[in-house]
Amino acid sequence: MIELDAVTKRYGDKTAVDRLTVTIPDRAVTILLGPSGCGKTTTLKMINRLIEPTGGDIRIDGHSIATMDPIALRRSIGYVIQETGLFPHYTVEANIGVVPRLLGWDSKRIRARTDELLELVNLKAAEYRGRYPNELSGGERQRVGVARALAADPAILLMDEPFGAIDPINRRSLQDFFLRLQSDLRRTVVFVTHDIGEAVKLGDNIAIMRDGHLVQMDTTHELLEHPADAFVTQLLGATRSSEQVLLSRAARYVDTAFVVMSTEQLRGAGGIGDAPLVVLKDGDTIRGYLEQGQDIACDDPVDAVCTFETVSGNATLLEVVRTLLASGRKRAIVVDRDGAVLGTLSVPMIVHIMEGVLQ
Amino acid sequence: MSAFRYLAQNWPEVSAKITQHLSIVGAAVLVSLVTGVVLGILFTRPGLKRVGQALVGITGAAQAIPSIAVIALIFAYTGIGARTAVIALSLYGIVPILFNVVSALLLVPAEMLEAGMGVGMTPVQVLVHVELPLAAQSIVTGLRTTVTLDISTATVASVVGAGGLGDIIFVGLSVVRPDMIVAGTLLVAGLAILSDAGLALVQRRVVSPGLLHVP
Repeated sequence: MIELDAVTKRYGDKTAVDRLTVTIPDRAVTILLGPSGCGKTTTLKMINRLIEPTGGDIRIDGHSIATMDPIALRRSIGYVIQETGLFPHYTVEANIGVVPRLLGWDSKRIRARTDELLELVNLKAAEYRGRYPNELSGGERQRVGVARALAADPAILLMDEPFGAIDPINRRSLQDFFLRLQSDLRRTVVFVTHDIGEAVKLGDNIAIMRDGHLVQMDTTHELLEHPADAFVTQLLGATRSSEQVLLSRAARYVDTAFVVMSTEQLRGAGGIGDAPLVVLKDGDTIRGYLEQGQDIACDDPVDAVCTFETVSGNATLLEVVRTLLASGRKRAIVVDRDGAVLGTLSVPMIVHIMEGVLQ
Repeated sequence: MSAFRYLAQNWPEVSAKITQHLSIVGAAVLVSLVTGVVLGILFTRPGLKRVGQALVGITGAAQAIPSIAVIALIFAYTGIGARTAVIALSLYGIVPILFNVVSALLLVPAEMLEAGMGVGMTPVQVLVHVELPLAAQSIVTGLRTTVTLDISTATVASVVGAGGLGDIIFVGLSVVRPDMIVAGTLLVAGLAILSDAGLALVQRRVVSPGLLHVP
């Protein structure tokens, strides 16, 4: 648990953070959200003492960090920044091993840990270990950045707009990757962003800041349902409720009228029968879907499956719409963190949901 | 070519001059390098950055001072001998190194310093593991300039009795022996080219491949 107790940071006459009191719970993702200049990054950097507060106290598990050695504190906390944070003169392996080296691990243990982490972030160790950051794509760099932060197995991760510099499509897949990773690792994450969609998708809790003050801190669901004031409502990107519904998570509105079948079952049945929609899934692999009323002209119904987009149940409806419009596909199959199918969504359905809210 | 004939006939004497020349240059470069790097690091630390920025402006202009003027000035204090040459060249050679060290260290992005601090490096570790590797290319470039400059300027130091290849050229000048002048000049130029090529190899070793642009 990280407790910020009346934390203040002043630069001359200017107050960047003003008597901020927040409790950040363990093993959950807490988002610091707000417009630029609201003090969210300053707050984050005070937690690893890159910035020293002017007043107040920060405690980790009850111990004031002001009494800790800042160097040791930083080595015990994972820190992820925008892609510029990788050292360009270090290979991927040297970048990931930087904290273990500072902690004096032997080279064998560092190599083993590096390989383990590269696998964890879905990069082939043999292929990526020796590369330099300028030989990686933006998304790959960011994965290496996350691996580096996790190297010494810290309980706390501080993430400062880690996906901010990435294009929208890759950002989405990095967010999905982060959600899967976090569901396995369950670290205490403090995540700074100004993107409300990202906040809703990734955050278990959201703390909204404005002019150095805390405006509202709540679970993501509570915050969306009961915004504290007009500022929060406006920040949520919508003054009308029909737009606000787009910030709801996909899992909440999915169409659950579907049946999952394997290729074998589908062939055995010779079609989808009277099921409204069939998701074709073999083991962990989703192959597509078949809809009632769809023309199945070919001999093998498997040949008739429609292509689709997969989205996380945590994704906002807005993200689902954007994804579908960008790909030109009709339906998104919504899955949970373990890959289980929650249901499907289409653009007309989302429009319908918005209309329902309006009335 | 009569210059080559001169070299062949007087080789023992010529090779002694080469050794003398390289000793003067070697000693001066070492002093310039250590002083330049230490001062460069010092004047780019937080709190002294202003000094560093001012220095970059001044050292540019300092290169306009003629080398012979520096030698003459030092001569006035330390008199005849190799010592005068080494002191003068050391001072003169600090300029390119200091300029390159300071400007390269000032150019290291603030985010890189913060990334170093953020992963838990001490200020010294940030300097050694982040700042100096990122500035390495530029620092070696400064060293190359100083070495080339010192090899040619050491020739002039012959006038204060420092010895070296300048002796061959100045003797050639006084007795009107063009072959000696050409021979001395070729040797100076050859040394400069060889040492610069050697340092180019060093540069490739010390600069991380990750900092070179990928086509």
